[in-house]
Amino acid sequence: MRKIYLPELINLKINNFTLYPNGMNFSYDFIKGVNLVLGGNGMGKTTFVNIIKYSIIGHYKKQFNHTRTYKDRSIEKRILYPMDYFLNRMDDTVLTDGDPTVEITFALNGTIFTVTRRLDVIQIINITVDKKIINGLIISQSKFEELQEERKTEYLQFKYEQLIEKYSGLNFDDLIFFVNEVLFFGENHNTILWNDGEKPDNVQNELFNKYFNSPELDRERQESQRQAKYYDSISRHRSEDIRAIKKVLDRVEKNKITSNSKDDPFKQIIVCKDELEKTEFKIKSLKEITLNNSSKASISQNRINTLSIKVSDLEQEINKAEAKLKSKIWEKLHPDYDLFIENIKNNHLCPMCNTEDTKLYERVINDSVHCFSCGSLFDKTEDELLNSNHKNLVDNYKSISNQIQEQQKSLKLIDIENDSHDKEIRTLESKKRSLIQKIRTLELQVSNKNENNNNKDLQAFYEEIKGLESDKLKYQELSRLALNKAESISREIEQQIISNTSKFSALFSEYAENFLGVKCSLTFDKLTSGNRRFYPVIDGKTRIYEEELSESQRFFIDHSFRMSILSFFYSTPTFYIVETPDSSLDISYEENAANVFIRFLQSPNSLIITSNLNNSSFVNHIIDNKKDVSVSLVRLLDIAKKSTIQNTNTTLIEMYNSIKHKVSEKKDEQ
Amino acid sequence: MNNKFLYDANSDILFIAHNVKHIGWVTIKEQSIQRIIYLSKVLYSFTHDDENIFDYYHFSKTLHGPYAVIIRDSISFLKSNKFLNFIEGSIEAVKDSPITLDSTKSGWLQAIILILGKYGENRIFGFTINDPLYKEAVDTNSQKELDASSPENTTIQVLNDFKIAFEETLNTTAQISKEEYLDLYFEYVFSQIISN
Repeated sequence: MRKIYLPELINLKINNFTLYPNGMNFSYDFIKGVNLVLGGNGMGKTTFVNIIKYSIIGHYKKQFNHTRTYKDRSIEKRILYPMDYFLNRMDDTVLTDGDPTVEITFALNGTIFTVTRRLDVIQIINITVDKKIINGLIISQSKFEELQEERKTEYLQFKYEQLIEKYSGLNFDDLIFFVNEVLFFGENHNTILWNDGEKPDNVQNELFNKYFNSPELDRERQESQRQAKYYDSISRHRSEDIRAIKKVLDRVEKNKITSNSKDDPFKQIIVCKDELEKTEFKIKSLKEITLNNSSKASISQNRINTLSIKVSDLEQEINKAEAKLKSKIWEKLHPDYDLFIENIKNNHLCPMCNTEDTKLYERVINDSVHCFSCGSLFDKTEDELLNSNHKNLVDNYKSISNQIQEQQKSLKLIDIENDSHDKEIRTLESKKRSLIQKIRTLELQVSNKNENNNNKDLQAFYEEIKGLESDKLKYQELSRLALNKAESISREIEQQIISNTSKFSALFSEYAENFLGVKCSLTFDKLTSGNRRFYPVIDGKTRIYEEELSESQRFFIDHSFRMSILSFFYSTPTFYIVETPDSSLDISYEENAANVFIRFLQSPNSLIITSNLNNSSFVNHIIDNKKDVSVSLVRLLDIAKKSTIQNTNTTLIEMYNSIKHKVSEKKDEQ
Repeated sequence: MNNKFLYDANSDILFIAHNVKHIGWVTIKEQSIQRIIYLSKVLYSFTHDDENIFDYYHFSKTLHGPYAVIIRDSISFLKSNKFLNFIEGSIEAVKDSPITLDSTKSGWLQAIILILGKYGENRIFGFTINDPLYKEAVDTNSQKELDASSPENTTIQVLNDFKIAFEETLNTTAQISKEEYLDLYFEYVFSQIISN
């Protein structure tokens, strides 16, 4: 496992930034605890947290972009946010006596960095490390990214990246990744727990590959992945080229009235290959669906097993309870009565003739006071406690039995769907085989054909297609090999993840259970066609897709996941930024949500939360926490534009002032 | 409820309950039946490339080892129909199954029971519980059934690692049946485990 150190925030200074005209020399000391960024719309909450992010990693949106090709040459570079992002947020009616800048002070494993950047032009202008000034040329980030590698070394930006790598154990691209994807839960509310590669980045995969191995191995894996993507994109380009030529040929054929083009083997080969490609694609998609369905079926089977054990245990308890209840009739009850009942419950069969009897099953489940055979009422004790205990057990039994039946229904549906897919796949496979056979025959025909054929004028097109096809196959193969290599490295890393899953899952449980109040864990598995990864298991159910949870549940499960990552690898304090965590919370979850964050702050960390005070009780729960976690306020309402403040609803201002008062009181107490 | 699978399981379980008597067990616990069938399923994949004849058993990991609900259901059927007697938490076969098992299945179950008799319940069950597939399912908090037939199954991979070395100790594998092969294989595996 890799030892890495993430930034520990100390202080932020914003100067001459006219979005905050009443704070032209604004300074904020981060606390280990909750740093609240409160304010109404347009006061610059998002800008404030973006300034924090910018001050550490610069204006980078993504650590890496690739596969932009020009003549098959890959152009690799980082992606930047728009260069005028901060400039556009400034108020040009306000005069300043200096350039707008941000200065951040943070620690990396005890080494103090102070980094100053301009906000109007995106560039680093000053760096000190443990108060020692670092010298280097100043350049805007966009220009820096355009430089060739060997020309970058004299610039301050390059020196900063080197120093980060030296003190954090992460290269700068990794830091961009961590800050953007893990330490920052932005307004777009993208989750990382469910991000499995369907979105632009597979954050979970990247994350665990980075944490669980040496940087060298990770670099090798990333390089292989890039190569795979790059070759894949070239092979796709070849496919496009073939399609384009085919369109031209189609047009030519249409114009040739006399030609017996349908019999032309060249043309037929192209048509067959096109058809083959489509068929292969269909097979692949169907196989993926079948695989996903099989995973779902496997989860259902497992759930049925688990629930059945619960049901069996309950059944024993019910039997004991009933023995007491029916004590008076025990003497005349058939000694195997319970065995019959068990058989009815488990197999839905009549114990006399072994015929399936769902009605009997339902009767037995819902009514234990009458004999299942003749319907006579059992003499029962009047003991209320025994009766209510029995009723609770039976209710619980019914609810679990219903769950089992639901699982069985969904299993049946999956079976039917998979059967029909299997049939379709078999038909497609047979079509594929006959197409391959046909192509072979046609190719043989073409190679034997006399040169003086009537397609001489189109020969060049066919030759071009042939060349493109062989290129396409070559690049497909190269992509496959590179991907295999990346996957084999990932598998090595998987073993490390497996051995740590239970510890990691236990941490996750603590956070997630705080929020949901039901049993939560993580499973590390391959449940879709994507990679093996972590999935949350909530109250016994594996949530493969985020849509299976409500918005706020999804966000807090994702917060729980991120915070368990940070807790698992905790070496020195770091930070976590969450934008408007209270936006989708209903009243019943507010306190739980506050507790999730308070739990994270049991180790010294800085939590930065923005809120527009739509509802103040979440914020109040944070401030009133019983764990004595410190709270500090970033006073945006005091530094924002007067006109914005004047337009702000008085209720909001009152809420803000009351929270401000409460925070300062709490500070005094501490 | 698929009755065909239930009746298949009924026959298997009755066969096991009868045949464990050959290795000196008068009664058998439900947990032991779960483990015997689990072992039969996993080891069947190891020596056979064709479809697994025990594929109607879907096992999960539990605190007490592998568990398939159909075994519980079948035992409850057999008890209710007086094929099995329940004595102090253990099961005893009292009637023969009306359905005869096909020779592949009966031969296979017989082989597994004999191996159990030869090496003892604890050692074989220890092997089951410590098998990599089971262990990985526990480690990863798996929510899926234990996939005994997948080519990625880690138990099969470990058994296969032993297999190459084992086959080198045999002159030829062509002359022996799959059951004999399995018996010799275990002899080899345990001799290796003991010697190491």
